[in-house]
Amino acid sequence: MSRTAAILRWLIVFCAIGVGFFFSRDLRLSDDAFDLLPGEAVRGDLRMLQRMGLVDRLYITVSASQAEGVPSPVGKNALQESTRKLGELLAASGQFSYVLSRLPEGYEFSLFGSLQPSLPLLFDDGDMAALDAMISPEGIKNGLQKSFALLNSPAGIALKKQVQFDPLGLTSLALTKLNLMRSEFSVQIDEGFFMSKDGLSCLLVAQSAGSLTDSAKAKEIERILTDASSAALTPGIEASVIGSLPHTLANSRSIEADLRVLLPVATVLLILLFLFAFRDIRALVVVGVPYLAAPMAIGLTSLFHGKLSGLALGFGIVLLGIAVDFSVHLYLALIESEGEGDRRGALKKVVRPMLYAFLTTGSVFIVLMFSQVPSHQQMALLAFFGIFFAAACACLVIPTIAPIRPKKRLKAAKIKWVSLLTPKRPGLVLLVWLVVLVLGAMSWPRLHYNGDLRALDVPDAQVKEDERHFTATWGGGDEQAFILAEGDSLDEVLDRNYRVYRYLKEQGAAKFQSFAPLLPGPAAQAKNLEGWQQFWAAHLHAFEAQFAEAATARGFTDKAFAPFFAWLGDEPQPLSPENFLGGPLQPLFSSMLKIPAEGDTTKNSYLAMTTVAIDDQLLAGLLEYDDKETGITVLANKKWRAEVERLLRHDVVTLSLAAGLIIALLVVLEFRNGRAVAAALAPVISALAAMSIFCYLTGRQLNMMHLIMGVMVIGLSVDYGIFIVCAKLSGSESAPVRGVSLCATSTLIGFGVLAFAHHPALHALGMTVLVGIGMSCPTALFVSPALLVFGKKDTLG
Amino acid sequence: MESVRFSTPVRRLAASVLFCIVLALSSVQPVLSAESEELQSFLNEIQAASDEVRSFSSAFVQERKLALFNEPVIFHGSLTVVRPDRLRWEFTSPVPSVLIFSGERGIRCNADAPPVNFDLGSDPIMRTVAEQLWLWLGGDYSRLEFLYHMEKSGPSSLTITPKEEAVTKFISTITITFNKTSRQPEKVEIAEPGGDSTVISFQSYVLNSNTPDVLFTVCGTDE
Repeated sequence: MSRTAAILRWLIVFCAIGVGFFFSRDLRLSDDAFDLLPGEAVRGDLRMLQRMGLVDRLYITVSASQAEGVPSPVGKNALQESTRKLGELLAASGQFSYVLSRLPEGYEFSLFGSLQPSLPLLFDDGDMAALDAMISPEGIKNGLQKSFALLNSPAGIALKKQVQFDPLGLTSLALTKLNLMRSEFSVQIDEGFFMSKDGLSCLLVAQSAGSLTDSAKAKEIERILTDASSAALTPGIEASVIGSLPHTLANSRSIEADLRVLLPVATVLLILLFLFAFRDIRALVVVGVPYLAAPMAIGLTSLFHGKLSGLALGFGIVLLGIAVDFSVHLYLALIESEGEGDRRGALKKVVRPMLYAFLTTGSVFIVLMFSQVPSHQQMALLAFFGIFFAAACACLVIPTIAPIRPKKRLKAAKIKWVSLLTPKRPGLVLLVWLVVLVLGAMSWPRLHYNGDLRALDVPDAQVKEDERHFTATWGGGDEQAFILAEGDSLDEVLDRNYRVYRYLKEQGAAKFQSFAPLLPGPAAQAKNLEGWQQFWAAHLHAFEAQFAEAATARGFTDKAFAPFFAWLGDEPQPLSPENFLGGPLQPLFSSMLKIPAEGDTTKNSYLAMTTVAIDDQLLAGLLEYDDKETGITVLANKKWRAEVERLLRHDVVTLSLAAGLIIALLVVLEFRNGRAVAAALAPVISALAAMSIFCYLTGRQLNMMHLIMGVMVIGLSVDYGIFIVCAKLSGSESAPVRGVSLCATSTLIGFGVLAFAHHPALHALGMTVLVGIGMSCPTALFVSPALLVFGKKDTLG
Repeated sequence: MESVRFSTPVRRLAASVLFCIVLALSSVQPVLSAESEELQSFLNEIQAASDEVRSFSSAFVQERKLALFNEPVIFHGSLTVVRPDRLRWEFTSPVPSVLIFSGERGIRCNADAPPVNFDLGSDPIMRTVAEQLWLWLGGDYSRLEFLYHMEKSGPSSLTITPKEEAVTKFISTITITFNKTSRQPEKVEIAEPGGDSTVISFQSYVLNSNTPDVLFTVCGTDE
């Protein structure tokens, strides 16, 4: 090749790189964990949780620090003061949309004042039965006796007016509804602070304004928390955090730590491998060629996806590494040719398997674009463009660097490698292979699809300890469901939220948290008012007489309870959500009710949340209720798990089947010979069988990482088969055998080191490739040739 | 909004009135100082007596005159205090009941209801009650100056008026009369806005006796 032609080829490649960079300039990287989830329904559910603020919520336990299980001698006041200061500092940072460290001072008295005028609107059918007992002659007598004792007790001075308004304790019926505002956590309110029963811990809840599934944001929030804690907490007091923040940080750090060690190891091993194999510094260019294609692939992908998942970009470029196979095969073919004329012949021979290898691998990535996981789709598109451009780059660049080798040396190498392709006992090889296939087929149906989103989570020891401390301090830990009511207006969302409350009552749900009974929607208020009016229309006359008689007997004057009777006769004041939300319980309401910002006209922008402890029976009922009721969505990990498992099963079956059919079709088109087709597909079948056996032996579970890597292994394995079969059929076996061995070894090193990763996602990825390629490579080298010769009288080679 | 402007004669009058007030205040000052000294001396005296008392028990009679009742209601009971933070307030008739404060926690019992444990941090009513009871039974009279206006009324009485607006809604004045010899509270009179009042008279004081702990842990001590 002339010098000018070589320069021109490199120039074309550099121009393409420049164009790639130009198109990539507007690419935005997203670190959104939702891109890893399959199915719009699951992502939609989680986005609702995020809108409600739950995904970005932190639960901070401020406690007396412990040394060898003995808490520091810290007083309640110091604990509460530290919590208050920490809350103030977090709120002042501007990075939190909501911080709750305590209820406002005097909230208890304000609560009575705000509830009392509207009390009748809170009383539902159940309350009417209790009211009926309270206004019976015995109930009146008991109520007045209590009021008499209360008025004469030391508390009587402060409660005199309250007794005049409510001598029978009707307010207590409404206050029992306040208990439903409490979460599953075992807290007691002390001076407005949320304290643990042992008095050694205070709870603070904060909600980040930015997404905590984003690792950069999570690090920023962690820094703010650390600074605020050191400024606010007095000596002997510490704070621990649970929520998505520590998980995001732990995962991010685990991946960073793994890659910090494993990437340099893999890089050094790969360089050593290629230098050893080629004994030439140009080997580095051969390895680097696929990465010349990266800017063009990223640029073109960014035209389709304006925002790319960081994970998709990272693994997409790793997948691009597959394209190194093209460079290696091309380079080996060229360096093993003799003279310019032979180089052309060698090129012609290698182009055909390269084309089919490109078609099969490309088809696999096209199939992967139909995955229901957005990051898989992005990854597949990036990898597809990547291998296309990498193959083109290899064709342009490799001939310019491949040297012409001396003839004698080549022959020696050829003899050494070709001997591998001469199975002495093909029957024995095939028998062993058959055993592997049978074991693979047997283990496959026994595999379980794990859709638990936590399967790829890696909480570190500190996160686990903080979660254990949290559960020990505050209780909880039950499997929970979140029931979100949506609406276009506050009235609509409150009505729907109240229906959820009624449903849970009817189902006998024991543990749930709802503000609905304290703030029912207009429809429920109207119904309650009607019930109240009907009740008193039937009972008032008799009650007045009985009450007057009992009051006189107890020593009260005629006018003593005039305020109570005036209140009974008055029209109740409608519960104004706006006033109520600005009242003493506003901080609690804020955590359960989402009101859109002014000017936000998004549909269903109002959200109200109910949380409930669930078992399988209640969840099934809730999911039915979800289907039936408009504007109600039930969110639960169990539901997502089932949904993710269904989608994963669907993806594994359909995508694998589609990829398998397409590559089988391409191989048939290529060879048009049953024996050759079987030999080319043998590595794929082996890889799948090996991965199935491995998954069976190590937990019997398949997760999303297995899916993506499984599809990739299919694409790689078939290439090995194609190169070997083409080589066998054409009679020039040395370069392909070396190429397949080298490519397989490089893939095993590149991905295999990930098998040593601590992070479960990286580990699963590494192991899948290690096992799959680890099996497909020897299959291509030994089983494929055996299939070509088994049963024939004169063996090849 | 347009600001209000006064005519010149009105401003002159206001200035004259101000001058008179300043003059009057400056002449009253020596009288107030004398009263203040007497008050301080009295407070020192009862504080000294109080400092000698670690615990006491007493019988009492409470008379409540409320507009809600046809007649004054009289309750009999007993009081036991162990300073600094344990107190048992028990009505024996006509409606028996017990109220116990022990540190930050407490118990209240009524005749036919199970005991109710409470925490002062989470029960604002009981917190207010405890604050008031400790104020006039705790023996730390120096604290009163921060929360109340005080005036010596008579040879052995102290009349206090709350400064906090929240407390003035419930209490107009409290007059505490001390025993001339023991200097322990003998009578507490609480006047409420609207004319209602409460008088509690203590008798049969026993000072610094051994007080069983059980008095502050269970309501019914006969069991």
